[in-house]
Amino acid sequence: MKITPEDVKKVGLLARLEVGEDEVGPLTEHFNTILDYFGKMEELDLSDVDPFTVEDAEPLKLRKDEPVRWENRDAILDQSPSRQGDFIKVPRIGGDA
Amino acid sequence: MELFRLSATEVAFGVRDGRFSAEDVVRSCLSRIESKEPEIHAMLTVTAEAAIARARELDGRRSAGEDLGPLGGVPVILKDNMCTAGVKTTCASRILEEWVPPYDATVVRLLLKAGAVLLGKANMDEFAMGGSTENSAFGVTSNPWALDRVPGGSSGGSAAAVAAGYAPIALGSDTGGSIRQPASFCGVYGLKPTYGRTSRYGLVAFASSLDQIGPFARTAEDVALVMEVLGVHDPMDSTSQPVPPDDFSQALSARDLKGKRIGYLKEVAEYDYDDRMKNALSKAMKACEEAGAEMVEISLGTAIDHGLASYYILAPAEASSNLARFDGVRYGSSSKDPESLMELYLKTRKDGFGDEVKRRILTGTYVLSAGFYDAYYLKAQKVRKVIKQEFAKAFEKVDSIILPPSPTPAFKVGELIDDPIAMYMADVFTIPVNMAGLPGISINVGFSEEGLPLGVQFIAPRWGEKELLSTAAVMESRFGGAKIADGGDL
Repeated sequence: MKITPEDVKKVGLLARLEVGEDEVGPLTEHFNTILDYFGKMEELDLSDVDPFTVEDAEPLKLRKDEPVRWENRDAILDQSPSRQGDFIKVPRIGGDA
Repeated sequence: MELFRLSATEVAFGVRDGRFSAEDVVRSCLSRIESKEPEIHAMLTVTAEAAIARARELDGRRSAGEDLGPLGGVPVILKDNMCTAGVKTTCASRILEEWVPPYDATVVRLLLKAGAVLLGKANMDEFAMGGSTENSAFGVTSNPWALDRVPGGSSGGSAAAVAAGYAPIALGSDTGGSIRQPASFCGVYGLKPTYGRTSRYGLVAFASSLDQIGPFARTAEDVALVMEVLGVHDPMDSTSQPVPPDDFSQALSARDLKGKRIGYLKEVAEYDYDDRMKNALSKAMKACEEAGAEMVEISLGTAIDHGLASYYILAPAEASSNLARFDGVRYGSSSKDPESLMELYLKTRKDGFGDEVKRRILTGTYVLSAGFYDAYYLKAQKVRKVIKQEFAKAFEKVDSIILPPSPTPAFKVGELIDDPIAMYMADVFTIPVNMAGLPGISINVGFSEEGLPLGVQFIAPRWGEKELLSTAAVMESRFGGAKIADGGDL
């Protein structure tokens, strides 16, 4: 199945990544080349493989779910492009805009 | 003496014994960086003043009789995807151009605790996506052995820095070969540890189930020294494993490979790749035999034939998810005066990411999207499972496996940049190791007629780093340690 420029734009929207008119052509070509390459996997019979059981899995060591005080909280907030007091300001979410 | 030529072990001993100061070493390395950097461009940030201040502090502590730690006074360079408190961490991307992390990655904390001195941050492929360090938003790094060639990638800046004598140690991250391939291209040692051996806390994630931090060095001894510092459990990373710290240096006492069985791949023998790399492999196999190892033919058909395709589904899938956090809201660059939140996301990411990163985010989003998940992502996970099983079976017969780190030596800048599939093919012999979570090391075994470094790769079962270091030590006794690139006009 061939990918079309419209498909690329649609995936771009899903990925929150605007695809410019100048980028659509090369990206479509790239997608079709790489998806053809992925087609190689078709020659494998994987019907009996359960991908989600791992025999030798190492157990995950989770930390206790308890809050930890972060000393330099301001250093994090200062990294935001638009800070207002102790909040991070973002453009309007609701409405027509 | 030019102190920048010393190994990390020699620096640590020399500083401890008072033969020279940490400041002398740091100044020697900084002056080396200053003279070579205009041609090589391996660094994105050089923290000269902070490094000198740190060295002075260490010298003061030593004078007061304090033990500085195993890396006391050793200069180190970090790939610019490891968080450093107060020092920019850009991932070679416009989107993080001005970002200054408020904390240190665990590996950084461990290095500093062990007495190391940070010299700066190395260039890389943007967000570690690439095999040549040509995908950096801040320009290409040159291979110190041949300036018109790439240093490999994505940790190309770190590999070039060690090869050029900037520092005896640099850290890189390896998702599909990004330590071993540049180590081979630049003629140094590069170890990708077992998945779970080194902490990923503070490493800006590319593909979390594959990424692993490891060292570049010019001797096996230095690799062991760094791994003793980094190979500890970190409660901040749930995938970090509580394995007991290994005495890696002990593995270096191996004088031969008697009683060892080393596997070589039927598929590699049949693979059409560069003659120079074939010769390097033959030379290394002969050296293994002379050192007493038994060479055993094994097969890893799925890993070599299908590892690459499945990796280029799984890694972008994880990348598309990991890179969703770069949205212009909490940190990083941000689109100016957007009309809506959606516009903020779309414009920030369009302007902030380079072409290869965009390609991988889109590929990842596509293979995870409704209707295509079974055809691509699920299938790739199954292939990964088969690859793991293949390795487990192979390691019933052999102690380690030898194969090339890449199909070619360092290629020319620009040679593959318009051919993504050809670029991806450069990872065909390294990717299966990440898919199975195994450790692998690349070591230099010589140079081609035109002077390009040639490496070989050894891989071992999980937690088999000592096996790799023993083999590396024996190979080093035969081929010599890695050299510093001084040649030509350099």
